[in-house]
Amino acid sequence: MRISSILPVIPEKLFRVVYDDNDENLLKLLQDQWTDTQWLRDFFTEFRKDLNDVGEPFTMTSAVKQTISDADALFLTLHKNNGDNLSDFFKPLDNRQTAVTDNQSQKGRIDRPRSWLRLYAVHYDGKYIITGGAIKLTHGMNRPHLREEIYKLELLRKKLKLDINQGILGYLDL
Amino acid sequence: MSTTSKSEFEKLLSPPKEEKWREVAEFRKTNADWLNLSADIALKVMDEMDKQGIKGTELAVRMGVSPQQVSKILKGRENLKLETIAKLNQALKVKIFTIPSEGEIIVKSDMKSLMRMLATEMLKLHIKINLNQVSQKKQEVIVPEQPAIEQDFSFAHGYVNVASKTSSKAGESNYAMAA
Repeated sequence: MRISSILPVIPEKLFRVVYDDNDENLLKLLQDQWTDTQWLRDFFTEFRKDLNDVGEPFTMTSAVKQTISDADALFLTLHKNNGDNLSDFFKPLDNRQTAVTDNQSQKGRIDRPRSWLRLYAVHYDGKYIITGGAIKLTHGMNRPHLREEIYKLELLRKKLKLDINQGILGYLDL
Repeated sequence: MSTTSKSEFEKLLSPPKEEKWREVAEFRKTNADWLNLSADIALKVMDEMDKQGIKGTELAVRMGVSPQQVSKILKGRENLKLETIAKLNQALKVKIFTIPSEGEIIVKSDMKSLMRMLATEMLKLHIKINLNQVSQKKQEVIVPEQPAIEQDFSFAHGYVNVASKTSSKAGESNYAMAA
């Protein structure tokens, strides 16, 4: 996987990465997956144990329905106010980091309890460059699909020749 | 931000392309009600397919539609026709989507919901009975304030009493009159 380009989503504020192995719009791809009942059902079947450990009993139906509702809210949040609310949306990836700094790996989520949808981005020069997104049911990032998101964040940081060590903290995301 | 990283960013930066997810987000907001129903139907269909152990291809055969059509239904984003819903009901031999008949109520299958529904219905019934009793008591209180009616009743009562003092044959005749 390589980064082939960076495209503006909201000029000067929000950008998205394009990878050489998939030139599809990653935001559209995530929206498609997170509003697709069959895709979500398959996902929660695979990660049934993680879903059970979330802390609240979720049925398959309630988990799928909540994800769809959260996904709709997330994409509307991202799109509204022409990007003026992005600093409320994105937070440092590592919860132990309270200060927002430049070149920091960040996560974007909506302000709803037990919302497990995440967008991942690098906060670079006052801009947000989205590298991907995932459903995060666990405290840490120790799942294949979450590790891939860490890899993508590091890939961008390497590509932009940012301080790589700073990004490794994000792996914990506790 | 270093000059190197800035030049790397500039190198990667490409002109904007269509961001269709925005239109989709607005569309989903406007059409949230039926999209929600469509997702409910898709989830119910998949549950039933699992129970019956059938795949999408089998469902497509049973419904007489293409596998692509079934695939669209299962994504939960299709604005389904009534005809398609009827085909789903028929193919899976269950009511995937139905409108309750008059007097029918929908109850969730888990015991907690069932008990909650029963408690609600019993409370409604209890209130109804109590209201009827209160209403009856009110009527009883109102009765003495209506002398005309009481007079009529005493007349009838007296009439029967009088009749009861007569011979049984005459009593029968009077009973018939009272009826």
